[in-house]
Amino acid sequence: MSDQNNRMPEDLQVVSDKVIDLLVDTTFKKHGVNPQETQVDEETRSQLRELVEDLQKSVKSLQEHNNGDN
Amino acid sequence: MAKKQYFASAPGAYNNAHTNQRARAPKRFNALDPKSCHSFDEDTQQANQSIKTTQQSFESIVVKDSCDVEVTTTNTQAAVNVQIGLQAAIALIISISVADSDRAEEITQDLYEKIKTTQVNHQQTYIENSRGVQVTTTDTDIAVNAQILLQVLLAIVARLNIL
Repeated sequence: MSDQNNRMPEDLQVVSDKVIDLLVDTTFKKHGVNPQETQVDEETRSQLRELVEDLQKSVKSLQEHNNGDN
Repeated sequence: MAKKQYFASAPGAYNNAHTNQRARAPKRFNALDPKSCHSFDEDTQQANQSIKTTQQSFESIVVKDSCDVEVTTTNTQAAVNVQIGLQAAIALIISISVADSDRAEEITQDLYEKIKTTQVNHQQTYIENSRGVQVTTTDTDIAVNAQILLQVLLAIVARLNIL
């Protein structure tokens, strides 16, 4: 087992990104959400930023852990 | 030599011809009987299993009436935790961004439903009446799932101008 098993090939990654962008866009549109209208205060914003960064790290370590096991 | 053997066995085969159906029915393989031989010509797996399992059971391994079975599996708990964290974050960010809580819930459900239908992949391993089987499962799929959820999360925060 190699890294390839845990990482999408580049062309598939591009498709996946597009699909997800489309999914989020259409879902927002369907429910009439205008992203520009969103008002989030600075404190919440920084908390959310931290949360997203932590989750990014978790996913990365999960992938590295899998690579290490295989 | 080989020819002789062929002729020697031929009458036996002929004698059994009238009980053809019984002779053809393969003797059931018994893993616990050392003399019993497994035939790989026969169907070894049922591929068409309906995907009905819920998200709770990511991996199930059943070993029945078998011996010398080696199962190596990775712990999926870490991956499940990351996945739950990502789902919670998606729900949280949407609920913060969309004032109407019912609508926020609907959006989150909509997203999850679509993600689920495109990526559900459960592992079920059923070993019955087998001998000397080695099974190795990994949580590659769930790591990919986590990656997809992360992509969704990043796409949402990018649009909602949060970061």
